Order: sequence, then C-alpha cells, then structure tokens
Amino acid sequence: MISVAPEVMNLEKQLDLGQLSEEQTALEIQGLNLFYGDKQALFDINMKIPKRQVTAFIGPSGCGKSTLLRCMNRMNDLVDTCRTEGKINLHGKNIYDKDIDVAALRQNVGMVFQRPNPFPKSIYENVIYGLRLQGVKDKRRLDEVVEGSLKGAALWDEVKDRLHESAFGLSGGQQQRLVIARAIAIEPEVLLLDEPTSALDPISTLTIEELINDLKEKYTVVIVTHNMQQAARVSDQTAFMYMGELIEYANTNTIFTTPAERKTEDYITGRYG
Amino acid sequence: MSKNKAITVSTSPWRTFKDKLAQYSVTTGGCLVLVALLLIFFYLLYVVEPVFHGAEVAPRAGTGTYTVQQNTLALGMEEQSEIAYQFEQTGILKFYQIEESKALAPLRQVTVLSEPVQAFAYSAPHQNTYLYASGRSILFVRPEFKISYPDNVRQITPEVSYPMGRTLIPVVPEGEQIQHVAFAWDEDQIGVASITEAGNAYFSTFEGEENFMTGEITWSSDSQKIAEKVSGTQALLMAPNVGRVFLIAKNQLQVFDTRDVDDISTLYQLPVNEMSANVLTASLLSGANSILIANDNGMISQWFEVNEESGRQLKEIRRFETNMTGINGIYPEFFRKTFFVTSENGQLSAFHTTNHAELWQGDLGDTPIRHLGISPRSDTLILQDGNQLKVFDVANEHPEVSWEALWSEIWYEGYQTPAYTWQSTSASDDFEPKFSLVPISFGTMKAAFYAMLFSVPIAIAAAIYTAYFMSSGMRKVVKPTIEIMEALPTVILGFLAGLWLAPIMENHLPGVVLLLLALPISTLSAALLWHYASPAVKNKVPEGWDAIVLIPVVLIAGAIALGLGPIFEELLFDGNVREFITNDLGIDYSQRNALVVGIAMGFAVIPTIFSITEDAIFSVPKHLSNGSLALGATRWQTLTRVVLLTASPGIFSAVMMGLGRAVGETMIVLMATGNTPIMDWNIFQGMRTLSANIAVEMPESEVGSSHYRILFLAAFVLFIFTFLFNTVAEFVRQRLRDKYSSL
Repeated sequence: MISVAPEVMNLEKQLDLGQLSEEQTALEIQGLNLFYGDKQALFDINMKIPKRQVTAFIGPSGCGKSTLLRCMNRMNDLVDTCRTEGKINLHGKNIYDKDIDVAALRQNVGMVFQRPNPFPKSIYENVIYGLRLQGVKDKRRLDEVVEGSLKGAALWDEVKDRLHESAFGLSGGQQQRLVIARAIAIEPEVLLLDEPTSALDPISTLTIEELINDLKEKYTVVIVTHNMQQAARVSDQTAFMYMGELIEYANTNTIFTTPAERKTEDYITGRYG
Repeated sequence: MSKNKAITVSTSPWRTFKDKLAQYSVTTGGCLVLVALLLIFFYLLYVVEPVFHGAEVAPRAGTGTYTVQQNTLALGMEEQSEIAYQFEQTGILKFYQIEESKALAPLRQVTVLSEPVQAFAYSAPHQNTYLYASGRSILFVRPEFKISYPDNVRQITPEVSYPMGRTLIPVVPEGEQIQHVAFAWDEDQIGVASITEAGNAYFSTFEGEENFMTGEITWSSDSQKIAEKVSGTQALLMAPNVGRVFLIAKNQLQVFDTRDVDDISTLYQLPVNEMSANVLTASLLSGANSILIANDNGMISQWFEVNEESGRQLKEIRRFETNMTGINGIYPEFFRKTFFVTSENGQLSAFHTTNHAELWQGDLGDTPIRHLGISPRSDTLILQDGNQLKVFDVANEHPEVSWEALWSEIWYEGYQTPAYTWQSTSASDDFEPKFSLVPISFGTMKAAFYAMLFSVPIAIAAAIYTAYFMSSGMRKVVKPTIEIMEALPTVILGFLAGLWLAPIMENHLPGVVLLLLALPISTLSAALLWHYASPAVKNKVPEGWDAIVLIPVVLIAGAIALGLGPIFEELLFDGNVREFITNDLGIDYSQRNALVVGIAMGFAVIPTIFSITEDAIFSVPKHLSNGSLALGATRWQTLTRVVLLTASPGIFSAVMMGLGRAVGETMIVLMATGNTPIMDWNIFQGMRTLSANIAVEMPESEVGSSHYRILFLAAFVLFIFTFLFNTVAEFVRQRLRDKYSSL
C-alpha cells in the first residue's frame, strides 16, 4: 500500500475540477457520444483531465471506461463501425478535427495496454521504436533516450546488461515496464494506461504503481482500472463510469470517502461490479 | 479434506474409451503417413539402385570348355545365346551348342572356303556378315539361324548363307594378293577396302538392284585404287554406311571419304598413337561414330569427328587407361557403347565410353585370349582362351549410368564440346543415350523461378492488402475467391496457357511487355490519385472497399497497353518484335516459353502463397499493431515494422510451400512449354522439368531399362528437392518463429 503524503493530498483537495484553467487542463472532453454501429457506448461525457496528475477511471466491466480512454488518442478509429460525436480538446484543439494527424496525436498521447505487448525485437529496439518512426538516427541520442526511458520506467537496472536481447526474455511485469518505457521514450504529454496491471502478479503490480506515482512528475497519466484499491492508491482524481455515462468525477479522496452519487457508493462498497 | 481420503476423479468408461480411441487413431494415422512416405522413398531407391551396380562377368557354370586346334578368326553367337559359331583359319565355320549346365558341344561344321585363307574381316556386329579373302578374291558368309517349333519346342537350326553367291569375287587386279580387308554392308550397297601384298589399297563397291519380277538381286561393281605403298598396316576399318575407310599404318590414321566411288579423297591424315607408344589394334564402336585405338602402353583412346570451324575434324575425346600389355582385340557390343578389351596375357576388361568408366576387369589366366564373341543381347560372351573355348555370363544391365553421366558434362559422339544433355531415345538402336539430369533439374528450377517471380510479389501484396487494409466485408468475398482458384485443375491452366495464352503473347508481345509495366504503374498512380481525391468522391465508395476502384483502372490500363503494343512495335522494332528478338538480340524465341509458364504456373501458385500469407498476417495479434499505432506509427509503418516482422515465419512458409508446389507441378509445364531440355535462363525459351520429363517419357520407357530406372531416379531427385526445400523451410521458419513469434 502506498501512502500518499498528506501535503500532496491537501493540494489536491484544493483542485477544483469544475474550474480548471486552461494551463491546468491536459484534455477537455465535451459532449462526447460514441456509437458502435447502432449501439451507443458513451453518453454525453464532459470532463476536464488535469495536467500532471493521475486520473483514474473506475466502473464495472463494459461501462465504457476503456472506450473513453481509447477516444483520447483515437484508437477507436481502428474499429470499423465506431463513430464519435463531440469534442476532445488537446491544447484547445479538437483531436477529432479533420486536419489532425492521428500519428502525431498518438505521439503526444501515448498508450499502454492491458497485456504487455513488446514487439518481437530487442529491448533496445523496443524502446527506440517511436523515435525510429520519427526518423531519429543519431546513435548517441538513441542511447540516451533508451537509458532515460528505462530509468524512467524503473527497468534500467534490470536490463542494462542485455539491452540487445529479445524483449520476450523479460517477465510480464518487466515487459509492461518496458512498454511504458517505450511509451515515454517519445515524451508524450499524456500517458493512457488501460488496466496496465491486470495481467500481472502482485509484486509487479506494486512496482508499476510506484512507477505511476513517479510518472506524474512529467506526464499527465490517465489510468483505467478494475481495481478500486489501485485507483485509490495511485490516482489524484477518480471518475466513476456506469453504463456509458460518467456518473461522478472528483478528487480520489472525495470519491472514496464521501461519494456524491448513490451508484458510486454502491460500486465502491461492492454492491455490484 | 482428510489426508487419507483418496482423490477420485470419476471417469465414465465411455469417456475413457473415446479418449483412447482418439489417441490410437491419431497415432495410427500419423504413423501411416510416415510409413507411406518411407515406402515411396524406399520403392524409388529400390527401382533406382540397380543402375549403380557394376558389371559382372563370370564363367557360365557347367558349360565347361572345348578345346580347339585351329586358329580362330571370329567368334559369334545367335540372338538366344544358344548357339555359338567359330570361323576358323581353315575356312571352316563351326557351330556349337551352348546349353544350360552342359558342356559346349560341336553341333555342325561347314566348309566355307577350301582355298587358303589370306585375310578375314567382319562387319559391324549387327550386320552379322563375314568375309574371307583368298588370293585376289573375296567371299561373303553369313551364319543364319532358323527357328522352328517342332512339337511346340523351340529349335534353332544353324545355316550358312552366301549373300553374294558361293563363288569368289575378285576385287583387286590380277597378280596381287589381298593382305588386309575391311567391308561394310549397307542394305543395297557393299563396300570392300583391301590392301594387297604389293602395298596397294583398293576400294570396291557393289550395288545391288532388285529385279521386281523375280526378286533376284543383280550386283554391279566398281573398283578404285585409293592408295599406294602402304606398309605397316595396323588396322583397316570401314564405317557401316560405306562412307569412310580408316587405315591405320605406322601409327598414322588416314581417313578416306568413300561416299562417291569415283571421287575418293583423303580427308585427313594424323598420328593417332599415344606418346611413345604404338598402335596395336583399332575398332569401331557400335554406331560407328567412334574409333577406339589401343596402344601398346595399355592406353585406349576414343576418337570421333567433331564439327569445327575448319570443318569436321577427327579428335581424341577420351582415354581409357588399362594396365594391359599386348592388347590384341577390342570388341564393341552390338548396340551399346560398351566394349571389351582382351590381351595376350589373359586379361579381359569392359569399358563404357560415354561415362568414361571401366565396368569390369579380370584376369583369366596367362594364356592369351585370342578371340571374343558377344551375343546380340550382350548377356553372354564366348571367348577363346589359349586353345579353349569358354562361355561367360555378363551382367551388365546399366553400363551407361554413372554419377558422372548423370551430373557432369559429357562429350557425346558428334558434339562439338562436352555438354549437359538429356536425350533418352532416338530412332536408331545404336544411338548414344544422353542421360544428364542437369538440364531437366535446371528446367525445374527455371520454371519454379519464373513462376515465383510472377506469383510472390502479387500473392504477398494481395495478402497484405486483404489481411491488413481491406474491410472485413470485402475480405469475406475476396479470400475465398482466391482460395478457390487453388482447386482449379492445373491441366486446365496448362491447356489455357499452351493453346490460348501462348499464341496471344506471341502475337502481342510488345503489348504484353507494356502490360507488365503498365499494371503496377497504373495501380500505384491510381492509389496515389485516390489518396488525394476529394472526400466527396471517396465517400461514394464504402470504407475498405477502395480496391474496387482498381478494377476499371486495371482494365483500362490493360486495354491501353495492348492497344499501344502494335504502335510500339512499329516504332521501335520495325513492326516485328519477334524478328528483332531473334535477329538483333540473338535470343531464340519459342512460343511456349518461360514467360507463359511463369504466368500460368504463377497463377496456380498464387492461391497457396496468398492463403498462407494472409492467414499469417491476419493472425498477428491486434495488441501488437495497436501498440505500434499507439506510439504514433502510421498504418504503413506498423505494417512494415511490426506486422510483417511478426508474420515473417508464416510468409516464409507460404513462399516455400509455393516453391514446393512450383517444383512439383507437372501439367502446366508439360502443356505450356515445348519440353525442350535446354539449359538457358532466357525467358523466351522453354524448358523441360523433372516432373514433365517423367510424365512424357514414362509411358514409352521399357520396364527395367536404364531409361526407366533413370526416370525413377528423376522422381527420386524431385523427392529430394521437395524434401530439401521443406526441411530448409521448416528450419528457417523455426528460427524466425523463435525470433519473431508474438506472445
């Protein structure tokens, strides 16, 4: 269990999610509706995600939290029948605008998936994958980024002697941290974590959670989790979603101690989910 | 649960039975597949294996020997090897009965010539004619065998016939005596070359004219003196077609062109002995294209005429080294290129010229082998060892096959240079079979290469598009459609390629070449235009169905290319591209060529490669491509850097499976090529593949013959080819999979 320092908690309490200024906002979601074919999966989502904080999405399976996360870097575009309405603003610009370069967007809004998905390449090549895509060839810079990212993902000490071995030789937890290192190697502003520890053992989960805490120093972290304790442990803000709707969005402390909504309380007290 | 309570899993007997049944039937099935494969393998080996046996010569058990007093001039045997005959110096022809496990017994003797015999000659073995010379005259003798079936038992009765009558025919002027003589009997023409004691050489021909009423043949003769002062004659030979006389005297070979008796000329004269050795004897090999010359140092050389810029030239082709001293006879077989060599000190060897091999070698004792006769079927020998007649069995089924004959360059009779040649049969019996597997293996490779050249890019590109870019609705239509192409009988593809496509390609060659360029270019430019097309246009085509736009593009590009073809032909090639290719580029063009095969067989291979590649790409886990996309990769980058890499083992297998299919494919290559076993990478030339070769020649080969066994060997080679390909493919695939497989 990670104890969050009291002064940090106090700071967060002062953060008024309804009144975030533009500088404090990483992503602003306005009136987002999402349809899979005829079926609507998200209903009129409105929220602001604060910068350099950890925002957690909780809710029962199928509530749309992963879908919402995937909207933030337009991964839902890959689903043939998926259609969105509404806006998600990054730097005041709607990422669903026609002139948005999706590849560039995803460089800014990185994503880590539920299952560790290293590429069938060496550890080194995995980390610099994003840079290679951008055409970076400078060996010194690549080396620096590899070291920096792996350190940032708390993996450096474990793999520094076998950077050129296959990434498949790593354990599941290491692989997930490698994937995080890969994501932060291209220095995104926002890092989307889609249930990053659900496929991992408790020790690896702990390491990742510690890592998330460190990551918010530099990145805005949005995490989807099944695990309420995890949300409570790592996040500053928590959003509770149910049946495609955003039920409640508040400081984590508030949600877990004095939820405003009945549904939230039922969920966090384990009446359903 | 208490500790001593056993954990029981309730299993119903039925479930256990089904489980066991499944287990055993799967195991049995797998084993049967292995056994079938091994059976094929060993059956092929079993059929092929005899060709690599050496020859065996062994005395026939029970026949014993027969002591003869007189000098023998020639020995021979009839077709069934039941009766042998012996021409004696005394002018007597003796027949002997050879019976299974019975001593050699004299059967009959005929006094052919009562005058003293001065010279003797025999024809090429299959002409079976002999000649006695006495004084200035000659007599032709032919032992004949009448087969009758009294009481349903075969009985062979020896007879003697005199093809030009019983009377002696003078061939040299009065006062001269024939010392050496040679002759040839070519249907209605007989040629006799003779050298007299005075050193004059004469050539006489007899031409027969058949009286249609009586069937009698009247002979007219003509005689010419062709050389003078001949001395030291070592051999006198005549080609069976009466066209050449070979005279070896004092180690010099003089060749006369005797095709026209009124204009006999010396073609060339050249030394034929080995370095510091003398010629002992010479003989014509069966087929009479080659002369075999034995030297007193034990070297036997083979010579034949080779076409050179300066005209036909007699050349020494190869040498056979023996350790024999005193070679006294070279005896060729009737039809094959095997010959036996005998020596004064009792050595006997068998050689084969084509594959340059000593087949057998043996020592029969110290007494000289004076004469040797080979049966027409080459399975029995009769020889005179000292003054003993002995009968030997010869097991020499496949002398023409050796590793060298199959896989290396061989200098065949009449060829300018050594070559890899496949020519298994011909009209004549004494033709030299050419069994090089190199050109047909090459043909297999060539056909497979062009097929792969055509199919791999198309199949893989199509698979990538289908698996990765196409909408699932369209994919559901496209994939089964291409896969069903695999079920198309290849005989139909071959038929279409050979009879429909090949003439079209020949007539529209510039158009076809343009088409090959126009299709990729138009496809790419259409894709580019589509990329920049306005959304209004794009929205008319449902997402993922963009490929449909290509159909009119491809059709139009094809029509334009074919339409422009003649114009190009007119502008660049003076209106006839075929003449241009043949005359200006110096490339032979055959209608059924590698291009046709490449397209037709490529067409057959595409579904295989497409299907497996598509599966491989489609089964790349989505979380890998999503991972790449989430890092800001475009779809193309994701494809090239992650998806193809992960699918590479599958794509590699697909290509190897396609290659395996192309190598083994028979009907298409059979029908769409000219089946010419040539070695040439030229795309406008045909080829003959191993499989097509088997299909073409198996029906006409005699069971158990060398040809038959070599066709099985070709099948074995094909088997090995596919086996090798598959093994290498599996090995590489495993390596790739270890490296790139996804989790």
